[in-house]
Amino acid sequence: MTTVRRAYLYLAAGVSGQAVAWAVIVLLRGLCTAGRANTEAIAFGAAMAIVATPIYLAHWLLVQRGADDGAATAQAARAREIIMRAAYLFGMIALFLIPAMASAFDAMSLLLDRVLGGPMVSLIESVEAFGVPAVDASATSVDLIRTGTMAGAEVAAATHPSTAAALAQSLVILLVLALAIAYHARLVAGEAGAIAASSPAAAIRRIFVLGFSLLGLTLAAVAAVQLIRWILLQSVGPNVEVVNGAITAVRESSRLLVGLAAWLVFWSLAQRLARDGGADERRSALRSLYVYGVLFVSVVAFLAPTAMIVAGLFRAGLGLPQQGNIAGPLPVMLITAVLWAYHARVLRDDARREPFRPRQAAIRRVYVYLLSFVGLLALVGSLASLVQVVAWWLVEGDLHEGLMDQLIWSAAIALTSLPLWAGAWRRAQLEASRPGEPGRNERTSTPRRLYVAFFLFLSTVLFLTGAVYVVFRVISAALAVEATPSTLQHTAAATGYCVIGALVWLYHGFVLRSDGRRSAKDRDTRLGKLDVVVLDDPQGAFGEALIDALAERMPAVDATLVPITAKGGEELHAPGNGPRLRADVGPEGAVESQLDDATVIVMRASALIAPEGDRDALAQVVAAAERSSALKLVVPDQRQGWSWSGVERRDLDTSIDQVLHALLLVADGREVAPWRPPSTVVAVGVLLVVILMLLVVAVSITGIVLLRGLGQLFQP
Amino acid sequence: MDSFEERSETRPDWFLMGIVAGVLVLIVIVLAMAARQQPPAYSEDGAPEGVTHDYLVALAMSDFERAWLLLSPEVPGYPSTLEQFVDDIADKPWTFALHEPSRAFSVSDASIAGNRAVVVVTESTFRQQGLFDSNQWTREFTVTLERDGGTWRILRSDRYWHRCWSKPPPCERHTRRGDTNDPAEAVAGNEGRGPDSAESAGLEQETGH
Repeated sequence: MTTVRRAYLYLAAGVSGQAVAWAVIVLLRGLCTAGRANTEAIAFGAAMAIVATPIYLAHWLLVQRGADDGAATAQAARAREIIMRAAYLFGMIALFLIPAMASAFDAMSLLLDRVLGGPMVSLIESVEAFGVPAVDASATSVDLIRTGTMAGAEVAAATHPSTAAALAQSLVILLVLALAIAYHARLVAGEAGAIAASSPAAAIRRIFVLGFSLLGLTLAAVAAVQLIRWILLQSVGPNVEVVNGAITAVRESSRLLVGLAAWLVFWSLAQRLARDGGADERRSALRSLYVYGVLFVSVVAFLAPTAMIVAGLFRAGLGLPQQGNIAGPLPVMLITAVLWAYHARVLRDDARREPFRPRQAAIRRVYVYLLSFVGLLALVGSLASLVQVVAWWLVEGDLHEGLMDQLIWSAAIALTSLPLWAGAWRRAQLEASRPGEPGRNERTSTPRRLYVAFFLFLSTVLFLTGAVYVVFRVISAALAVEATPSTLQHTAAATGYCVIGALVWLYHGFVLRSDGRRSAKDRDTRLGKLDVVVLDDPQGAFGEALIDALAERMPAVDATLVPITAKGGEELHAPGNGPRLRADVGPEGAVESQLDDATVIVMRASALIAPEGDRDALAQVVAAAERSSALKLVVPDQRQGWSWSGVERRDLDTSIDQVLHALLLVADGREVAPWRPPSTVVAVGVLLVVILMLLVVAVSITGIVLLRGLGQLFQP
Repeated sequence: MDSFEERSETRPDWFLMGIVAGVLVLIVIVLAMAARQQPPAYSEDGAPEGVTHDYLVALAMSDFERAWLLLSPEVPGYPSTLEQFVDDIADKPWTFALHEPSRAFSVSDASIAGNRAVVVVTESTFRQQGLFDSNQWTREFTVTLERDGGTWRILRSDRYWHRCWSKPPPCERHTRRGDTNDPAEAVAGNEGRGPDSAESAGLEQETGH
């Protein structure tokens, strides 16, 4: 109930606080201009201030009193309080910040407009002199001069403030919002320690900081693209006439300055958090999402205009007329290249900050597979398109304009995406071929597995749909269904898809097998370093069965069975290539020596319960095992009248599987953990994914074969 | 040896400073170009390209008389007086891009066949609707001209054209200027209508980026 009450107080304080701020803005704006409409605006502002201020003060004082009492309340309540407080403070700042940015944009536009001699004002004057009402859904520059940001069109039509008054209004809005932001930012600074200590509150702060950083970056990038395009349009085109060009210069320059300022402020905050905020901030999923998201968009947005430029070069080389001009794609290419380079550098710095090498490698790995994914996807798509063009060209015997366009585009995308994929994939392959742990981490990494699995699936779908269509056409031909030129085109293209699908599938299958071979070799090397001693009583079947299993499934392991008897042991068997069973366990002290040298000692729990006569010998062996630095692996086996608490009953084979799994983990340098078969939830999930994939395949086949093929088959 | 964190704290981020410097240089260049920008000029060329260019410049500069004189009297719904021409523009101000803040156009070489000529105009429009809405698109439209006694005049255009000019009278016009002087009512009549209204949408061939 307290939580609900606190949430209500924060919500009411938030709503009334916003109302107070905007009431002050309306009042001050009214004072900047004169007229009946402004008198009404002042009256409205005053009414809002009179009603909202006491409500805000009452709720905010209650909120503050509750926050001050927080130290005395329970820890859980305090944790909830800091989350609500963080949500309130960052929410309020965000709600003040967005209109503050818009007002800064308006003020900047008006200032630059004045610097350039008032092109926006000239436009308004010319439109209004003509007698056309300037307030229109599309006439925002007119709205700006008349109304500033917040007033509606009705007020705008009646007020007509001058440029100076509009500027004053924007500055008033900016000033009030800046004060409100400063007040709340001061409160945030006071709570910085508590916010950092609470994961949800820190996450809210992260969303706020990275969200505004992204907003600023987007605004700046869009404005920079528009400004470069504006310059190029006047520079590269023949006989270009520009109308009201200064307005774009004013507006986009203002947008660029506001966006850049927002990005610099919030990105610097994000960087400081990552640097000083510890591993939680540095490794936060949101920061990763931000950086990788910007990288992904930059790479994709870079590829498209680059392909457009390459296509333009092809057209120029072939003497074909150009489509559009360089002013379209070049600015996007330039800006996304800068964004890509900068954020790749951010990623490198993030990786360097990580004290652990595997973590560093993991950060770089996601980036490399991201590039490989975008590059190969674009490459496969463009190759499929090329195949289609070639097939149609062969059948039609004429490379008409439409086919030529597709040919140029496909070739341009292929040429652009190939270096991207080849460069990134080569790095990934080099890393995967490295010996030891770095290579093993690369081969078993989730990004690599997802990447290979995706392209195996994609190639399967491509091959399947193409192959089904080709077979369908062969059967149709056998049934004497007449083939049309379109049928031949589709069949040729489908054959091409089959070839591309098969090549992609074969290559990624080869990658998968190579990874498997390297991993097996690497695993054998690691297992070869294990010296395993199995302790068991001479009558126990477990020891012998484990030795047999090791000989069969992990032949690289150096394993020894030591029967626990009063006089030591004797040789049990010595297979040719299997684990070496030492016969020299008999002499006194030999068992202790073996246990000292071992890296893992495996012992069946019930073997540690010796018959009465052997207890001294057993105690000596257990004491020797205890002294050994080897990892002691105890197998929870079954014994009449004994039961394990919290351990499921296991048969001999399952126990041996668990030991082998544990040895693999030990060889990897990882902590021993039980092997668990997939749960029902996982099994259902896998089933659903398989069904989804089959549906994709079915839809593809239906689309390609049934709709086109059957339509032709049954046509009269 | 200093840790990476310590070094990164003291070392300036040259890449970031380069981005900021680049942005400032870009703004200076743009503002300098804008300050030196001349208003559109007439070509005074009687060729189809020149006539088309002058028609668009005349409309952009609100020199309606000059624009009107460039229309061919053979236009089916020819506005017989300058007042009618101006009223038609006022009827569809968005069709004539009166509210477009900024645009650039270039006129291609004409394809001439006898007394007819077709000119393709490539027009890039920049539109900024507040901080969070920036847009730019490029489209092409054709202008058909007719030679009348050795003088080229505009017969038809896909843009900057009132629909009533394409058909013989009578044609119903929704002239707000004639109906009312109330700006608020006129505003209400304008709401939701832009340059891409149904009238012009079917005629434009966009090649936007």
